[in-house]
Amino acid sequence: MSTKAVAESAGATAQDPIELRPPRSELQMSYRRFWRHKAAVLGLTILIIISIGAIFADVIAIEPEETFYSFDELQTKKWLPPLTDGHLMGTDDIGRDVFSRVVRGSRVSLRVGFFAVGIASIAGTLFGLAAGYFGGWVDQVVSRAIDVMLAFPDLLLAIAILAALGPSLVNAMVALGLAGIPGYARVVRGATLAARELVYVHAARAVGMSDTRIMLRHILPNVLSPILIMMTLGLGGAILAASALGFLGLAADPPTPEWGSELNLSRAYLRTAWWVSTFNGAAIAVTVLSVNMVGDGLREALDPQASSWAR
Amino acid sequence: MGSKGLVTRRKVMRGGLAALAGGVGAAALAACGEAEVVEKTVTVTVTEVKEVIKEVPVEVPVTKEVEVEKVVIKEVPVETIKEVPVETIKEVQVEKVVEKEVVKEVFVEKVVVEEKLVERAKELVPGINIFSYPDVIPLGPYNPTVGGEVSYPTFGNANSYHPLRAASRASVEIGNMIHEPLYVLGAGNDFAPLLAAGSEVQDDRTQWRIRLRNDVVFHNDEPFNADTVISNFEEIFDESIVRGGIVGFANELNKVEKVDDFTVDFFTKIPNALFHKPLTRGYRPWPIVAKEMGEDFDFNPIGTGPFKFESWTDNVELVGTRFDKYAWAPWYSANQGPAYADRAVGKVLSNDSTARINAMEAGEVSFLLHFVFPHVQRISTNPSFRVLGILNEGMPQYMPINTQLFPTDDVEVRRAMIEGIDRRTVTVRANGGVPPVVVSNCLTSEAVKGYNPEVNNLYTFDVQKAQARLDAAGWTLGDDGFRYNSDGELLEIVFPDTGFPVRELFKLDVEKSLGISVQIPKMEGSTFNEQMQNGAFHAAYVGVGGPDGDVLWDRFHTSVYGLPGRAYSRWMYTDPPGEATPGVELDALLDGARVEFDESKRIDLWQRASHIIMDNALMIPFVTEFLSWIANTDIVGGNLYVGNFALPIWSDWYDKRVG
Repeated sequence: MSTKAVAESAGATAQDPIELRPPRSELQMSYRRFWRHKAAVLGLTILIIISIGAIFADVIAIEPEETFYSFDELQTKKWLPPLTDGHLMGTDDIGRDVFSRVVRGSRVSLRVGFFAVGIASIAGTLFGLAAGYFGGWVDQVVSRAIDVMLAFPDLLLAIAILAALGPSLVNAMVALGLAGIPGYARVVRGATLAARELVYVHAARAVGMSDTRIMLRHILPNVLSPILIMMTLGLGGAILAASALGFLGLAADPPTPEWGSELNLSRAYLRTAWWVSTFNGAAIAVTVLSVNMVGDGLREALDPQASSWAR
Repeated sequence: MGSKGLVTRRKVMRGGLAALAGGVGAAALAACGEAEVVEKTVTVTVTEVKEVIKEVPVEVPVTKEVEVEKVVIKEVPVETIKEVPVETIKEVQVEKVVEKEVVKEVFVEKVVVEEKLVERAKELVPGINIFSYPDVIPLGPYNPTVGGEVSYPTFGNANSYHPLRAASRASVEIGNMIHEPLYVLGAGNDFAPLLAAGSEVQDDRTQWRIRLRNDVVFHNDEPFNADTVISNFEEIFDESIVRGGIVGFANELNKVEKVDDFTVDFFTKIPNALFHKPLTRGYRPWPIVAKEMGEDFDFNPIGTGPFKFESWTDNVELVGTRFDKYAWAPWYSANQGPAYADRAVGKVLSNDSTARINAMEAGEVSFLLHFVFPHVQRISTNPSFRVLGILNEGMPQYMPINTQLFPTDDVEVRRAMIEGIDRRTVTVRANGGVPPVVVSNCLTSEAVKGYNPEVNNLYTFDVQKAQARLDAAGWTLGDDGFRYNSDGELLEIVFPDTGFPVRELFKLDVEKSLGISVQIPKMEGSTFNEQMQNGAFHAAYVGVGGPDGDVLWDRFHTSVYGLPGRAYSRWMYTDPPGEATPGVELDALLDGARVEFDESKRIDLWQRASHIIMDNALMIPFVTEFLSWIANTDIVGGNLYVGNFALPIWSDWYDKRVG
């Protein structure tokens, strides 16, 4: 039906045509829905600020990462409360500027989060695609492996993997990434099972396309939305899990600043020098919250039927 | 959509909000407590005790008042001396005359050292009552009342209250309300009898005759006598049953024999002048009926202590009720009779310092050991709390160095580390934020037998000198700030991170000051122990105390290398431990000290051993340990005894709330 016919059928005369805008693409619609989600925009803004802070941490921080004060210097430097002697967030037990450590800590936390989610999403998607598309023994093997991994809580699984690999920042990323694989694999497998029965997939197979090409060109784009949503929400979870590992002493090596390990060190004097644990804890909370708000908006933008908009 | 493995938004939001709430909560908590420094007048009490008379059973503590005040010291009951055979008494008299002159010199030196240490501590830690170890510390005016309850916390859970199997600190520390040893540590780092009445060594120096008190009964009315000891040692020697750390003592013995109802002979494999040491903590007698009870005895213990077992709640508390027949308290207890309190409670607390201080402030426990010093400012504002600092003048905290691993096989590297590390700063965090009171330059500190003043002056903190030493040894500074040898090999050490708080500052200091790269890989405890025993690392951090130079044997005799927890320095090894070339000279000195019954000669041997250890820079000494206590003087009265292998004075504490 042409634009003119639509206008006529709506009761307009041929002499008085109505100008209709061309329909928006799905991407444009998603884009608009995201920007109308105020919480998501706020979250994205915060996340951008934190990311900028992480990228330019060395410029923003007021003291070098490997600061070491001598015994005599420590007497006037340690445990300064916030807003004292130019220390926005005070100083810790060995005289280091808490603000500088919080800013540098964002680098570690975001890096762990992105790497972990990257490993989990890429590997999980590949396994899920293969299981869903090929079915048969491939599906059986992948599904049972997923079942086994899902039998353990994420964090415990990550700790177990770290115990095998040895605690370090890189291994923490790998452990969290491996622990996240089954979630992605299960979702992608389900979506692939539905997508492989669609007509265009049969058509692609009929014209002789290879399995790899069908999976990557025709099925993957169809399952991308849930993956993106999972990645965003998973990023918050990964940052939180990374902080938990840091708190347990299983992530970054000292003196690398990391929110979780800073929180652990400072809890010994929580009631006396509250600022060290409070600002590091707040950094974790704000970052995870902002990531989750972005994830929430993204889900509503990409999957409107499941969102509050549809309801 | 996915379930278990999938991190849901709700879950993550909940986590984020919880963390935010935690932060806000922390801020609110902090806002409630105002930090205020309160200065307190410090009264210093110094106790001096005469050295133990060798080869004779009269380990009689002698109290001497030095400058300030004096402390109540309980002397060994007179009747114990009466039991000594006539010929032995003659020996005692001769020995006394000979030894008095020697002791005088030691005494003068010790008083000066103690005064010096206490004065230094007072300057560095203002607002805390400083005491020198081992002191008896009155918590306040001594006005005992009968009834009520006293409580004492410990670290972690107990594995068993059977002295045969007790391994954890909790098992021993709060278990001491029920069990008692034959000897306790006396003033002046000597040994005083508790369940024993005295001892003498026979001519061949391998046969120790221990006389037992004849008035002691167990909580089940079973008498304590030689049969008890013989029965206990049958179990200790029995390899078919589960035994704890006491096995180490058993390995030093050939046999134990009954002489009469209250006398037993211990036969050691080699002469051992320090035979009493394991009797102060390793062996605490248990009744014969325990054999029939088997593993039931683990958490239904029967002993001779001031409190009878009432109940045990796993990971929570051990409760004891007063043992009315008790009349043999240790020398340091003002009360020799039954305990004052109706009930004693040993509380299991975690290692978390904030949780411990909260328990203290909530009145759940009456004492706290090892709190974090930042809390002092807040705690000091509470008039109920008495804050005590105790100088543990034993072996300092130290870091053994692996001398078989490149590059610490170079003695100049090791010496440069001792000279160039800012040990005061490096250990600040490890000591809970308190400035290290005494930086140590050798293994046996000033107030301990075996201290060598010459060794103490071998190294002084001098970064430039340390750098020059490394330069001269061919370690030149590269563009990256680290040193390399002529072959281009990096000067790097591996110091595993097992959670000990010294690691971070150590790395920062050593890298910045000396240009030595420090790797601190994170490591779980069992992995660390296994690899440490195989000599995989260059260094590890250790903090220990000891009453005399025999700690050198315990740490540096080559026969202990490769044993669990004892594979620190690998000096003189050219092969794996099993095929090692021992440090012949060092071993000979340490072995000689153990079998030397003349104390002055023994001290000389320890001093020479100490010189070898430090001249070869086998370890980096850090600081003398500084223990911190708080007592809630509204709840509890009595005395604290802070000797090494500390026994809480259960029978001496009383509940001030009663009456």
